[in-house]
Amino acid sequence: MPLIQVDHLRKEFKRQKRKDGFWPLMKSLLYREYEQKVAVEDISFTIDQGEIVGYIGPNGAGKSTTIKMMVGILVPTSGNVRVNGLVPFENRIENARRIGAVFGQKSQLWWDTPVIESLRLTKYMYDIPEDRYLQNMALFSDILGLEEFKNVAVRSLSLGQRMRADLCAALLHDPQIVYLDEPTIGLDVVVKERIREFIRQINRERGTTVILTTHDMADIEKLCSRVMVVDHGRLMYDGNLHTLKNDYGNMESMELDTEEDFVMDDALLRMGISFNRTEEAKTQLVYDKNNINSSAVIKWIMARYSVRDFKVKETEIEEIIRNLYAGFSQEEPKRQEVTV
Amino acid sequence: MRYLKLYARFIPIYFKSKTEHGFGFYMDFIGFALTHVVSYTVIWALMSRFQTINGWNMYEVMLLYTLNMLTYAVAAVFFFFQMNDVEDDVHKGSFDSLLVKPINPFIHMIIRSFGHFFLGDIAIAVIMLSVCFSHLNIHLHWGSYLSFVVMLLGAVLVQASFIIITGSMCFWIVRARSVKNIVIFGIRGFVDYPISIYSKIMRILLTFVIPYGFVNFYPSHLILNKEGGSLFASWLPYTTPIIGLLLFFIAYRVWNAGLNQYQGTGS
Amino acid sequence: MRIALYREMTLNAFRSLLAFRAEVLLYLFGQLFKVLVQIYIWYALFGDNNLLSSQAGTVSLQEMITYVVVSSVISVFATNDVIFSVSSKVSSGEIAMDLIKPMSFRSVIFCQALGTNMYRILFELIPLVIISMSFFHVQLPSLANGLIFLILVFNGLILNFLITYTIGLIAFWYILVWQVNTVLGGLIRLFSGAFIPIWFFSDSLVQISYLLPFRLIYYEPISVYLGKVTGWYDLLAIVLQQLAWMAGFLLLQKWMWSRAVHKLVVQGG
Repeated sequence: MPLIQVDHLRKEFKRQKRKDGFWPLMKSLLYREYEQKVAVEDISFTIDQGEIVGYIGPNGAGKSTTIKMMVGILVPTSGNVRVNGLVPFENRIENARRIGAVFGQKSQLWWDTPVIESLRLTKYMYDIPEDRYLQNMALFSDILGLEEFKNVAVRSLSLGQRMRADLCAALLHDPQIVYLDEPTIGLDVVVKERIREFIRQINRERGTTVILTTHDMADIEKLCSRVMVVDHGRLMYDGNLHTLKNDYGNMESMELDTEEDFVMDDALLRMGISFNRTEEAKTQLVYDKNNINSSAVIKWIMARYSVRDFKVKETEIEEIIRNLYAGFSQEEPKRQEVTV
Repeated sequence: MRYLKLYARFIPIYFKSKTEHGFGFYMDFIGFALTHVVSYTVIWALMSRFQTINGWNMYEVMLLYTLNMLTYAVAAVFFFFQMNDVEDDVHKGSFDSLLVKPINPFIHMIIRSFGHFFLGDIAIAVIMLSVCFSHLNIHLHWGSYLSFVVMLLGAVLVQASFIIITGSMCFWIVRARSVKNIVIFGIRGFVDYPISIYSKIMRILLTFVIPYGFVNFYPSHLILNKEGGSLFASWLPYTTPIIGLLLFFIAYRVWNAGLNQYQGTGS
Repeated sequence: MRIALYREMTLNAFRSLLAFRAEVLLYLFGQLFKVLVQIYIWYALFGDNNLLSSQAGTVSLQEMITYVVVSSVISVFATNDVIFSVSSKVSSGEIAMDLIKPMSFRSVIFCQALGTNMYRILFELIPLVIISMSFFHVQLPSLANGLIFLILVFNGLILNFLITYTIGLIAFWYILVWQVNTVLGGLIRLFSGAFIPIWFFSDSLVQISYLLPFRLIYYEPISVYLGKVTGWYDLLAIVLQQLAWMAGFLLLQKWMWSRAVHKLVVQGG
């Protein structure tokens, strides 16, 4: 049985229509008009123990809403979530014992309390045995470098420090699953790397299942074996990162610097190569690497121009995702908004 | 003149941004209004059982409460949230924005916001003032009205001065809001009842040191037939505008000293 | 029951407040000013009399001064920021951070209120009592009355918490926090007998206050303290009313919570 099972999950929000002016406002006291917004339309997937899943999509795609239904904060409009056989919102407290969560923008630590006290409180919150607590604290504060700020009140931590402390708090009780909602947002490269290493290690050594939302594609590339892309409240892609790259990242680009002015040739166009000029006035040729071999292209060019320099680049993950998102918005140009 | 023009531009922008909050905007007025309804009910409950307190009847006590509320509300429209903003700015370090503008910071502080909250208070106060006047059979000819209004303007200056002085404390101390709260919501409460009920030391304090007595107690002697027994001198009520101007001058000096302090430490 | 968790959560709330000691001193002054104003008001109202007739028999000036001091002691506990903290957590979405914890939201808020109260005992209540005792002649209750008073105040404070928590939950539907807070504060000030004892009320006000729960927080416990209520039957009636209101609010907040969970909205999609 999979660890997490999500079936035809849907979440609608009712939102009161905003009114301007005095009389419409007074009227809205008597009866209210709502507009309905569909945040998650219909999503199904399963996740097994030990996976690291990247859950990505543009802003407002329904990522956080899905996660908040999985942790039991939000109640689905229809469909089912089962985590470990439990329905999270019906067994919120039971479910909460077995999971950890970090929501990047907000802290679960106590604002006016020193980090170490906050962490000690989670020990009581999750009934962590003393020896296990000490063991985990020693390990985590080593990897995350908590020692330097453990006596500082949470409110005066820098973002990076706070995130590390939050991550530690989310994992102290050896949860089966951790939900990380943008855990690297706004952090510098060093801290990002540290956090990624921590997640990798926990996953490797303890088999912790990690579900991660992010806008940083490096997070995906470095951590996730599996990617789920969501947009307009629907799952648009679910598979491993390698396949995603192959399916959507088949374009290759070649950057050329030639002595002579490069003139685009019909022969190249017929081969399916497109031409751009880069910002530094260099030539850029883009083609599908499944159809065209880069050496054939360079051979053709070397025969006609003297080439100073050239570079071949695979499409970066960011561009793949961008293509993917762009593809969605063509398929479904308007967000569905139902007025009731 | 230039400042007035600027003000005329600021205010519509302010109201537009506030009304966009919709329902809450109107509830602000109602929220404040209900507090006063309760306060009047408390006075009514107390006075209908005891008839008089130190020779003051129900409507006279209500008049005192109303004058305190009215003069405070008028002052607060221009200073209350404005001084809160100053404190926030000083804490966040964004106060510099006031110093780089080509306007006197004091004026800028006043005109960049507006205490719409307190307009509801003023409306209630005016209504209650006329209720008290009719129950107390006060009929003034226009000259007396005029001098009463001048007294009240002095009282408004007293109220404003306390907001400015306590608010300016944020230039020196971190938690200035507590100081402000204790003066404005604590000490000011002393004059909700006639100050003649207090001991002599407290009356001296409320007259000469923290002159909240000039907010309502002294001016009300001009329209009520009170014996002068509780006054230190029979001419004291007439000094209200002078006290107001004097205190406001001090307040402005404190504000300026605060600015110097801020620029000196350059936090 | 997870006593250790509750203890730690409460202690944590207590410790977090230690950073605000300067404010406490000023708050204490504010509290003293209020006591002072009220005592002078009663001096003035009593005038040359030392005894006044009331619905609870004659009342002496001495008893009124004691009433004022005890009432302000209760208000130190009963003035909580539960409404504010519940509603700000709801409207800011911060409630999500409490919902991922393995304990009920009500317990989180309760521990916070308890910690605040502990803090107030130390920094507000004890100074207030010492100062009041040394400047005004405050009567002490008989042992029996004192013990019953403590029980009634305890119940009253639980009731007070349940009322404020329930009202805080309104934030799921309307975000009108401070207005609601102000209105409630006003109603309590008038109908709890915190300021004017109900025994000085006119009949109409008495009737209204008996329909509301607030007098069970201030007026009834203080009446017992002063020995105005002595019959076992009357005492039992007060306790039963407290329990009935507590049960009522407990059910109400449970029902509201079950509906509120479906109302939760999370920003950000």
